[in-house]
Amino acid sequence: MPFQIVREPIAGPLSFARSDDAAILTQAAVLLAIGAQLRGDNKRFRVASGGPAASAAIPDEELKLLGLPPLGESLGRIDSAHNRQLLFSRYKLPVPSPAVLTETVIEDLNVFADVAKTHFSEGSSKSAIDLMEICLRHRNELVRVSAAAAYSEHSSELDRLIRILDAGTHSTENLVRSIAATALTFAAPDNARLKEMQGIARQSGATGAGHTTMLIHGTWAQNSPWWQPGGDFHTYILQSVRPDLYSKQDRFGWSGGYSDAARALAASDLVTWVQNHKEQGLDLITHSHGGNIVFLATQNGLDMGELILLSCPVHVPKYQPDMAHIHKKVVSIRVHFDLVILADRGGQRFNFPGITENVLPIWFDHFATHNPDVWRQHNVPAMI
Amino acid sequence: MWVLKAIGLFLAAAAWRLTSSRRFGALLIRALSAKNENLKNIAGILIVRAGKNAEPLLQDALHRRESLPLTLSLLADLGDRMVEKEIQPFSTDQDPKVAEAARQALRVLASNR
Repeated sequence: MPFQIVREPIAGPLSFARSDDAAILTQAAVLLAIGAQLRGDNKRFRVASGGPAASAAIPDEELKLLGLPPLGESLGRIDSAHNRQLLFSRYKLPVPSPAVLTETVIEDLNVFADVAKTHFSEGSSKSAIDLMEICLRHRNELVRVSAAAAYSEHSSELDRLIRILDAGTHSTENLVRSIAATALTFAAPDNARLKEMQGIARQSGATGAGHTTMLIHGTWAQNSPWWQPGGDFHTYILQSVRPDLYSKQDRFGWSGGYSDAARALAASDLVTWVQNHKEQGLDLITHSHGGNIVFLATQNGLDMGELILLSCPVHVPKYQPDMAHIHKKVVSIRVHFDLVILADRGGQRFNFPGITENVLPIWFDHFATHNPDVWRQHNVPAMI
Repeated sequence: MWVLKAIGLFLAAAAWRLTSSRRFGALLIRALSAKNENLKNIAGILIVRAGKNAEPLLQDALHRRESLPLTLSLLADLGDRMVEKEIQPFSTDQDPKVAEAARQALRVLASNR
């Protein structure tokens, strides 16, 4: 059964003493946030975007809402077996042997609450590692999977974490599957289960016929002709690249608004459009923030084939794809030092597993990537 | 060359932020009607990033029907529900593109609640 919507997280370590939906989701958020803190995601994101404090992987105000203490970047892997021995001894828990093969559930919520309390008061890498370690034994699979996802870049026992994530991909709960699959793409991109998931989706027909390509415009381009039937780029793609390009007048369009709300609304509308038209598995060619709308749509369950991103501003993790729902490749095509992306304060390149970057020998022009002459001159069809 | 004009827009936005002088904001508003899509987009983004400061300038542009339908979208992008009543009359505009943009703008504002 899906989790209930949480209007406000439970601040501080209290959530770890509870097992209701709000508490479980908060625990998952805390663990994933700790993983991001230890990876130094916020620092990296600010450097990449050249942006101010507001441009962070996890905004400071949201960390405050969770009551999480600040945590510095921690590189390298710790000796998980040794750390576990110390931790389990402290709570007089049986130390499993061999530890990596069994994951006995810890039933006593007081143990989780106490380890969490220590972390929220101490705020050290050690206390963070202890919390991730103990949560691998949580009764709830979302908490276990979130702990494994967060811990995967810090533990010496990666195989063990991959097993937990792998198990998570079989969950009946969509959120658990998505977190597990996304974490697997980072921790083990060649994992057989990921390939199997893509194969299952293709074979079962869950992704529809998959013989349609569609164009999605970016910000304030809802009235621009280039992407509409009869427009120059639409005509070029239809005649020279994708004869399956959707050309009916009821093609998907969105407000073109420059706000998170406009994009969220568009993503929801896209999922509905695809369902109503039975076009699951379609390929999408997107320009600018049109790509970020598709990312959001995959998080809302949109199953699609290939994704071609033209001049897409990078706002990871705010906008990132759920790769478990993209069944073919993701290709990004852009120019050097895109000035519109600069104004947008987005990143200029993806550094995301599964997205292939192609930078054309063109500078500054955000709109060059949907110019048919540019496609011909630089043989862009060979890149997709 | 549009790149030089784009740099000018970035400078105007910075000057607007520092001085709050409407003159600099007006430069960005004027660029909304540029033929070059890059300039139009950069101006639009910088206007939205100016937040509340941009609202009176956009309202003036709306009353003069300048750069429609883009101005309608920008007003909604600021996320201030107070502008709903100013956008509302445009939802039945004779120009179908303007009417559609107004309807979309109202929808985005409503989803923001």
